[in-house]
Amino acid sequence: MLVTESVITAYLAASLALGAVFKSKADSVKGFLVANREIGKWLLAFTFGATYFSSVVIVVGGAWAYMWGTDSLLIPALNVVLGALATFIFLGRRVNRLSIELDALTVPELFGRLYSSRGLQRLMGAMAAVGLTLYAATVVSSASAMLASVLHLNIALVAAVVAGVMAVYVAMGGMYSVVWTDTLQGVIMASGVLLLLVFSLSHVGGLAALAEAKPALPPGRVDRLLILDLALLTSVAVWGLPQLINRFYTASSPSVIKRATGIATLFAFIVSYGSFLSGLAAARIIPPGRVGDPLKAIPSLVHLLFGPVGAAVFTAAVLAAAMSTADSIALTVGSSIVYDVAGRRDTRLLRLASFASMLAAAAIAVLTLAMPRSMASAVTAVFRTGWTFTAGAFLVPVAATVLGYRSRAAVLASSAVGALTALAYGVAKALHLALPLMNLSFTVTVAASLAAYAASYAAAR
Amino acid sequence: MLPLSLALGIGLAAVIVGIAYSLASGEEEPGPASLVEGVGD
Repeated sequence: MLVTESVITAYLAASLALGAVFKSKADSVKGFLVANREIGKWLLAFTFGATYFSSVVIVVGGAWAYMWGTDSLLIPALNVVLGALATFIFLGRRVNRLSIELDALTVPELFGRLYSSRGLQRLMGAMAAVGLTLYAATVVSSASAMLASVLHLNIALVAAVVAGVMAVYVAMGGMYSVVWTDTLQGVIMASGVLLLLVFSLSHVGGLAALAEAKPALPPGRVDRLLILDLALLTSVAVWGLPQLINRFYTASSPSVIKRATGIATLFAFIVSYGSFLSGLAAARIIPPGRVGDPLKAIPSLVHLLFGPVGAAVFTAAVLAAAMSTADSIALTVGSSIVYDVAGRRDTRLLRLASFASMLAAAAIAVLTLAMPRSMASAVTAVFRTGWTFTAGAFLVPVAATVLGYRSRAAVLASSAVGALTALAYGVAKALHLALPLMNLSFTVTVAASLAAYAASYAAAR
Repeated sequence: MLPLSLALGIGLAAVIVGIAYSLASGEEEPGPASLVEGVGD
């Protein structure tokens, strides 16, 4: 296990070093929040992809493929087409231009300036802070649990170290260190997934063998509506997540976004398809009875193909995937609280808030892991709402505003309806209550938000 | 049932479109001179 500890320690040290390198460049508010808009195409593509895909795509995505077979491939297909390609082509350049024209440094500020409403900026900032803190807690929780089990360490200690490292480098270098560490993390996670796929394919005898993989669930029990909802949830939600949309603020011009499109799409293809195809390979190689919990499909496959040392090193790739998502969230939550809600343009306060938001997410994660199992699963179900709550609040307003359908009343109405619908489904899942169309909860959330936007927009005309 | 070849084909086609779009020359910033217009209320 010395190899694992050395690899992970070196990786955490490199992340801290990147924070220190960029500290002076992040001393201004613009430097801290949007890296002075000087990020190039490679860094932009990698920071977008690494923030988009957390460890969930590797472990949970693989488990879905293991359970549902090739039907689950709708999810990576939409991730690549809608989550990466369409986001760059239809939203990226426009968001970049708007943020430069309005001199907006955050997504809530873009709304505030465009609609001349400080209150709207505060409200959007508050919703981002709440939703993303919950989301960060789930990311830190799952990464700490996995790392603690590999290293045989206490979960609270692991969460404190991992979150502490992220808190320090985000507080030092702001967007600069987030972008550079994301790129390092993106390279590690894409290489890890690619290696896993190559080893899996050589073990099963090529792609043709994957088509014959028997999923763990018989075809009659596969819920295709749920797969569709998850495909949309993991693809379309990208259009409304502030920690992803604000990546487009960091480029100097729309042409940088255009040139980054191919790289970002290829990155999404490697990571998302790689994870799902590895899950299919696991279904081919490991009989369902031997794994039990589908979430153990990818870890079992990794152990089988790479051996104990290789599996431990692969953990670094999964950790990188989790950290690249969590650090971006800490920066967005910090800026939402200080810059958007409190209206303070003070780099020291931004540093403090980003540091504190990361530690708060870790504390929530540790508290959840310490709860009795039944309570923890209910609380985790509510926390998972963080992603859908934030996407429900931002998706339709961002897309409609950027595409030119602008109305302050419609933004407020659709944001409230989207966030509340997502929250209602999250609470219902936590309490095991049945709401209509439960397996299409994200699709319903977006449809309700869109209907509210359309109705208010028409009324305002 | 979604065939593996179709699912892979969709992803690969998206990658090709993305790379072609990145490399395409021509007007890079279409649309009006300013995007800050058209607030409904």
